[in-house]
Amino acid sequence: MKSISKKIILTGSFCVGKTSLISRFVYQRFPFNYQTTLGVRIDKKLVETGDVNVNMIIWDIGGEQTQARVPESYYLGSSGVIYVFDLSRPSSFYNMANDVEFIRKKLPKSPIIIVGNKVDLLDERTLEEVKSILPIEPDFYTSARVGNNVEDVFLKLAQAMI
Amino acid sequence: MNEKSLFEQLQYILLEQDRKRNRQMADKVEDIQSEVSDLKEEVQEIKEDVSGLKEGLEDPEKFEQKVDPYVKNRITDLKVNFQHYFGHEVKETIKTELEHSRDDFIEALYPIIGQVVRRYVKYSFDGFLENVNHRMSSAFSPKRWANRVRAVFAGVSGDELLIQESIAQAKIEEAFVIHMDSGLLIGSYSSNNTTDLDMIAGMLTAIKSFVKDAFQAKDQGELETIEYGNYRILINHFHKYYVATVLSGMVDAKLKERLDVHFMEFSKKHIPDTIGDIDDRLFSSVSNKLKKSIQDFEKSTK
Repeated sequence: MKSISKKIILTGSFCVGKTSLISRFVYQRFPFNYQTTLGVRIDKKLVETGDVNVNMIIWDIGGEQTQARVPESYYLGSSGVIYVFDLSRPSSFYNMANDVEFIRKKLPKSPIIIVGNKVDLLDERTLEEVKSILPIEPDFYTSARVGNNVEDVFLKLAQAMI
Repeated sequence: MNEKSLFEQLQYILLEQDRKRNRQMADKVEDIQSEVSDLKEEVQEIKEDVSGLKEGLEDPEKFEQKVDPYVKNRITDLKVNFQHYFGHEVKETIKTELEHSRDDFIEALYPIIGQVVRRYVKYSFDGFLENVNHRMSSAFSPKRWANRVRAVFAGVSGDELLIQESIAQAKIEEAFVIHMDSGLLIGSYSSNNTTDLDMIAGMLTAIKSFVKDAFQAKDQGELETIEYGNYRILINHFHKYYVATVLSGMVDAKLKERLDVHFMEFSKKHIPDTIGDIDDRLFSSVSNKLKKSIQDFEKSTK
């Protein structure tokens, strides 16, 4: 089966669970000790999409309060983006609309998947309240700790890139 | 019986106890006097002994003669049974000190390690000199004459060529053809079956990007060399990709220049002008050609 390499980036504010999502997706485990990502970390995983295998080279970018502060070179050559925010911390999604707009301008041809993470920390009523104040409806509500929807996020991005 | 005699008898009877007590006391006094006399003698003897010791202390030679056998015995005993007496304490002390003063130990060991490294360098240099001497001694061999001819064509002196040959030859350990923007691997060569080549390519690209961003060096060139241990990574830039070559051994300016030219030729011949999808077909095609190309390069440098 044909295999294509694609660079994707995971970005968003700090401490939203980007590294944990990758850890859950690539290594099937959740790191309970939080370690902030400095600069960038790179991982890879082969995703089977049917006709084509996508060799995902995943750039885990250190969290910044706004996307304007992410080094421009990290976006270069990226075929897809996963934008992550923390459902339990409003400050991580207040700036989401501007951030996503900023990324679209940088990478007009690349699909962007928006992910609300840490859904396991919210009860149903609080989740509904949070949904009502989100600037953009996310594509997935995930939990890196439990594993909810994590595989689906990467699979959807892989399908969107080919 | 007259009155006086009766009185004396009465006195005798009444004072019988006192007389007995007096006799006992007299005996005790006599004993004490005898003991005092003995003690006096003993004190005199002690005085004489102390006087002798004092003399001994004042005269080191005499003191040594007296003390020496005891000290020697004790030292021998300690030598034989040191581990038994102090083994546990010494072990615990070293363990505690190592735990608490790690930095101090490293600082103390650093100069020693430096000396070891220096000795190693000296040893290597001696080996190098020996190698040169060996070559000098075979100066009239047919190989030497062939080298001289090579030196004339290479435009360097025979001695320079000799030294170049004596230095450990550079070896290409790994080579990566990496897409400039994405950091994706277009092709690779490895002499060590290195794993995670994709991640190495990504990290090299991230490092390059970091240097560019950190030093605002967009129009002031690119990262060209990374050194770690005995290895050096040379980076040759092309328009849409770059080649990172990991070398061990002696890398001089001439080798760098030759690699530049070599990869320029390789790029012209084997890498497509436009790179669309980086798929496994492109990867294996470039990797196979890269392997052949590096083998040819290494043959040409021997």
